[in-house]
Amino acid sequence: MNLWKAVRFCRRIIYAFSVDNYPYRTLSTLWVSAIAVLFFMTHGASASSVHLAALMPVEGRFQAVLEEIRDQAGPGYSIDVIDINKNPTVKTISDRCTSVNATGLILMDTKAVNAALELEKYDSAFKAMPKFVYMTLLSELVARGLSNTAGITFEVPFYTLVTNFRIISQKDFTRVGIFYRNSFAHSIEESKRLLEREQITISAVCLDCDNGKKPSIENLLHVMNDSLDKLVSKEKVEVFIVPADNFIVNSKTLSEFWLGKIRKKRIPVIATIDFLASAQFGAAVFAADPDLTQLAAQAANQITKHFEDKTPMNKIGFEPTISIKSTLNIHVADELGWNLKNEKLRRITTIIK
Amino acid sequence: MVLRQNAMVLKNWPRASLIIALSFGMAYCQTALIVCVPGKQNTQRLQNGFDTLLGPQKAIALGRIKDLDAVLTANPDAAIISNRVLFNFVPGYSIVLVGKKKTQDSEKYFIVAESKETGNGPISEKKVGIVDFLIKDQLIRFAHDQFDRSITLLTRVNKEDDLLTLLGMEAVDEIIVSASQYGDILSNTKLPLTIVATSRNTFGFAVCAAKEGKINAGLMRKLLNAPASLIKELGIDSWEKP
Repeated sequence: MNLWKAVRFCRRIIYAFSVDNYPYRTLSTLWVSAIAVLFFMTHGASASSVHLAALMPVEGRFQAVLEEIRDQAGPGYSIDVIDINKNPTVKTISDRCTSVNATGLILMDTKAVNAALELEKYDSAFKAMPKFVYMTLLSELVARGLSNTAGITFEVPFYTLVTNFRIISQKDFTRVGIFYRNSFAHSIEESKRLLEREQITISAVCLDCDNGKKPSIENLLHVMNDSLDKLVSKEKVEVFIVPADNFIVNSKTLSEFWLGKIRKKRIPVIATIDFLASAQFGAAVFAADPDLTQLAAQAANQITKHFEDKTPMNKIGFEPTISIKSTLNIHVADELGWNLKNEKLRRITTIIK
Repeated sequence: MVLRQNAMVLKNWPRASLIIALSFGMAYCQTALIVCVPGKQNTQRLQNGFDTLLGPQKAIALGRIKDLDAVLTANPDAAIISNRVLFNFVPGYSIVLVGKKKTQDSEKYFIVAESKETGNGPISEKKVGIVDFLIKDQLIRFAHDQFDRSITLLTRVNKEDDLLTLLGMEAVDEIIVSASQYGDILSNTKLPLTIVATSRNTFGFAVCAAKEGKINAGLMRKLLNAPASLIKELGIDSWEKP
């Protein structure tokens, strides 16, 4: 029994005996709820049947996501939080997991994943424990050494970014350009395959694949400048994607390339970083970020699938982020002469006029 | 151990207080109408619209079906606007207003897949995506009753827009959608989609239901005179008495 069920149960009894007596009903609710709270405080925690430990930074959006996971997973789950930013030792984490009888771990941020890797080395029992990885960039890659994992990739997939922009665009574009570093090669190949089904071709330029030079910002910018004309005139790229990579998006590339050369060519830029479409930057016409409320719901779905439906972790695996929050900068669209479908703009979360 | 557990409970104290406060708040301000049309992601617009129509604190707009149970318990006499199919699972309510789209008052549901996916692998192992318009067990029953399919791998989303992403990202093999949702999806994609199965029955759009069909006359009048823009937010074009 949890708090809400206790209050609801008591209210039902009160309602049954006092149909039209409002003052009595309210006073009774006050008394009975107070009793329910006391009952909950003494017995509530022990009611949860699945105990989890969350290794995460205790701050802002991480906490918001955890609260939403708690809410969505329901009262059958208790989640104890270990602040990874306080640099707890492996022994501290292990002892805490033991003391709360944790049967699973929620890992948020790369630091937490690294701590879990240490934990598995420290005590092999942790290898068998299910681990859910959220809010971590390149999560599948980072968690490669961990056993028994599932999770959600944190980056907005290029497929989602591109198709959502096409839905609101008057122009039925078919060619999209992107610059990327070798470490993102896998996601580029996957995006090419997925977007081909939508009749969209990605023209991708790897910035550090075949030269021996150190991948400095200057070198990468040089390759971007050199390949731009070919992408636009020969490969007929109509839209450019900006990936969330600080070698490709930084103050230098922003001013010289994205707001400089590309803007002069009047080609729209879409990004997986929402501030690029903000009024302040105005580098992108459209941007998408993960919808954290829905991401938490997706995470809770994974957790309950494993603990309630008994779905093995390898069957759950790493899922892409499904839900996005989108930003559309109308001012940039007007500047580029990019026409939009007004009837589709209701799906945009933030419109900057 | 008990002390530790109590400490954990104290961490949840703000949430507990919120629930209690909500419970008392609801006891004082009797809500006349609960609006719960999941999938549309326009909860704030609906709340503002019904506040203007009925006055403040007379309506509660919810975006998630899982919140309905708690709000309904606290407001047992409130009328409910929700999808028609919900009232197949909530006993004691009668429809007092039926939502219509143009001349239609109901539609079929479809199981939709990408053309290449049809016929691949055993049906029971297919991952199926659906908008969370019923609670989980009811969704499974709905799929079983309407499509003769036992679905074990169900992926629920809160936004209609996410169904296409689920399919496009290959996160699911199939999606369950209403005919109008399917029309919307077709206008947003070039994926070659196929209807794999059609529901046994047709289902109404948004309806207004009240306990034993008893609705306050003033509320009924206001709902019938609601502005077109607010009615559109419910996914319908007009109200009609059944």
